[in-house]
Amino acid sequence: MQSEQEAWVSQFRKGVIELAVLGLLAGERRYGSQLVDDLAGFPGLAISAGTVYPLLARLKKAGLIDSSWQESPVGPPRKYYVLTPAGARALASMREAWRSVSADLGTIVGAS
Amino acid sequence: MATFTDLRPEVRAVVQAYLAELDRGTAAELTGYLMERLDAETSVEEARRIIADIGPIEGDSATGGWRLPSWSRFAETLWDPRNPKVMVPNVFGLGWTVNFGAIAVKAGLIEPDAEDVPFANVPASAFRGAAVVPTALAAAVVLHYLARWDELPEHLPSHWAWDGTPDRFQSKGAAAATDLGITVLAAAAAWLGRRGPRGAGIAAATAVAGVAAAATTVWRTADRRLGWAGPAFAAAVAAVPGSVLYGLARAGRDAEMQADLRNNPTQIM
Repeated sequence: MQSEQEAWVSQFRKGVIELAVLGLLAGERRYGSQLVDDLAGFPGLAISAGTVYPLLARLKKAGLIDSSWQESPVGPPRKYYVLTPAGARALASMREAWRSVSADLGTIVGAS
Repeated sequence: MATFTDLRPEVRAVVQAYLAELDRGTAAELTGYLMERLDAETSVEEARRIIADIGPIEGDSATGGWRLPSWSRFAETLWDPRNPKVMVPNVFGLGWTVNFGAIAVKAGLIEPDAEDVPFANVPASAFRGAAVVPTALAAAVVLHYLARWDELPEHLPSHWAWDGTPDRFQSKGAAAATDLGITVLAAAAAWLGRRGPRGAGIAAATAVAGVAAAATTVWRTADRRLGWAGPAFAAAVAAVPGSVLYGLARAGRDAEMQADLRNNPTQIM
């Protein structure tokens, strides 16, 4: 039963992880391992570095995020990721879609 | 629109950079689609949105994800730092091979995203440095045969049983020609001046060929049976391409970092 539940959570996560990453980057620039750590703070969204880095590469290829090496306030230079204007627009429409899905599900599941 | 030359230069750059990442078949298909969607009025942002709408392209759908082996594919397989798996399917689809990139990341030697595209920023000087490996091995094999030619027996081993006992022999001339041929060809290929992922694949392959041939030379011209030769041979063949790729990846990382820090000392956009 536990593993079935894990599979559900994993499916949910797969659907929303891009939204989560774009959402985190909308707040401030972040570097790769920072994103992994930040997501680890949300048990429902925690994904491994092996998933985060290929996702970042894919989002960058799509032009939704940009990256560059920058001096870090502490420690050596790091590769930081930021949202591009196209990414900000994608985030806005994804956020709308999420709100609508969430509201509809709330009506169905929350009421029963 | 008719061709990409009608596009604004900055839009053309975005589209070409996107297509360059794809395999040839997919790129050709998408070129047609993009030509329909883009025109001379299209802004960079619109082009980015159109590309983003296409979504992720995973492998090549037409061939079921299988891609023709190539030098760049060889480098991407042996060095894929974003993938945490150490053992990955072989570039030829048969068996498994080591992902040295994953080992380097686990050892804390490099970041998974050190370069946007591994080896894309490696300077020519680093490739020349890598070419020194097969060149030195070729020179060592040449010198070895020259120095020991007279004292070597007329026939040298060409095949060994699992326990290291020679079970097949060939003439001294044929053995030397094989070892010299492989090492010299490998050294020559390493100086062809290829760069990027393709150059990295060639650097790794020429290093493997050079080490394999040089180790064979030592093995077959040894005065006595070398009990340690088997494990040492395997370790050398495994370690050399890993070291070469790591050296190139570090050089590419440093070049990308320097360029970024120079262009945007404080701000990203």
